[in-house]
Amino acid sequence: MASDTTHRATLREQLQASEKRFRLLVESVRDYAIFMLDPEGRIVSWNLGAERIKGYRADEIVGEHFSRFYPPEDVAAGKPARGLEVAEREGRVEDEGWRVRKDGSRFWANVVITALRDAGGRLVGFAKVTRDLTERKRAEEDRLRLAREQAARAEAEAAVRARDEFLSIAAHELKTPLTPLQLQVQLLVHSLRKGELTTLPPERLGAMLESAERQSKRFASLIEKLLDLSRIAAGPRSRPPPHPEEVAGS
Amino acid sequence: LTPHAGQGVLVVEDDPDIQQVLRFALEMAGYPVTTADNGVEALRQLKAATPPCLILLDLMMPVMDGWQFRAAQQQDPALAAIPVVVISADGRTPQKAVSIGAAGYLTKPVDFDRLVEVVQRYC
Repeated sequence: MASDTTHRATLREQLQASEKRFRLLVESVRDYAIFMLDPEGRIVSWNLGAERIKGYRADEIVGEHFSRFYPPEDVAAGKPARGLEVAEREGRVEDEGWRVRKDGSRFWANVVITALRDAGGRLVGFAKVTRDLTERKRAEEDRLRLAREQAARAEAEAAVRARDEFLSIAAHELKTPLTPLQLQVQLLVHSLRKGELTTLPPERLGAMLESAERQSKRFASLIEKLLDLSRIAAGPRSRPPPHPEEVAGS
Repeated sequence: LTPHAGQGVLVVEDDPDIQQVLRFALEMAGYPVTTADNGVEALRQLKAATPPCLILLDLMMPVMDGWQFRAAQQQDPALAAIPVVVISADGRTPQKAVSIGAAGYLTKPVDFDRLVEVVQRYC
């Protein structure tokens, strides 16, 4: 009998020691907010991680409803209650979103809510584990912003390259009629200065003047095309205003 | 300007108006002129007749362009020595002239005095 009592006392001591170790473990974790809610969502336990992440001491927060960790818009949308409903129905629910610290600042949280049931299956509350992922979120946002900026820069550079290429082609096209035009005029001036203009064979003079006329028309048409292109590129808003006569006539 | 007997200038240019005015200008300066619309025609003429003192070569042409013509010309020992002056509207004409081993270059639009000056060096 004596040994049985001793044995039971030893078991109780072992159990207490185990509980103490477990509580110490949970309470000491700094990187995770680990706390318990009663079935209605009121906070019943608190750890060091929760204090560090959310800013409340245990004596300030135990007994309060956990919805105070959510931004007002999420509370208005019924998010905290829905989280508990899902956890109760499915056993657990995981969520990522903005949460509010005691000082009102927001942090990006990964939250897991697990329903806790006794041996009879009765809901006794919820375990809530929250991680602060703000840094990771910021890094991700920075990376996305950087990628967007790089894409925008690449696009701008491509536009500049396309413009330069276009200008180079346009310049080449414009020089094509200008080459014969300039040379024809120079030849005529040269002949005139040497007193040879009248001795030029008429068919040659005719061919030069006809070609000069053709080139100036070609030049004018190229300029028109260039203007059309710039109007197309600028879009429909840049359509010139109607001529006063058109307005008057309508 | 005095007439130049014998060897003339070969103008290789696909634009008929540029071809015509270069012919007029060179003839006015006293040089006999033959013309070709592309590299293939130019090679045919070079093989058939007395070689010219100078080839004025456009680069962008259909059928056979200036680069292809120049490569073929350099491979033919009978034609390789004929000097070539590139004539182009391209902004990188000087570099392109160097890259094909041309004797010189003229940029479009071509100035009459400069044209005569360049041709005089070789003819």
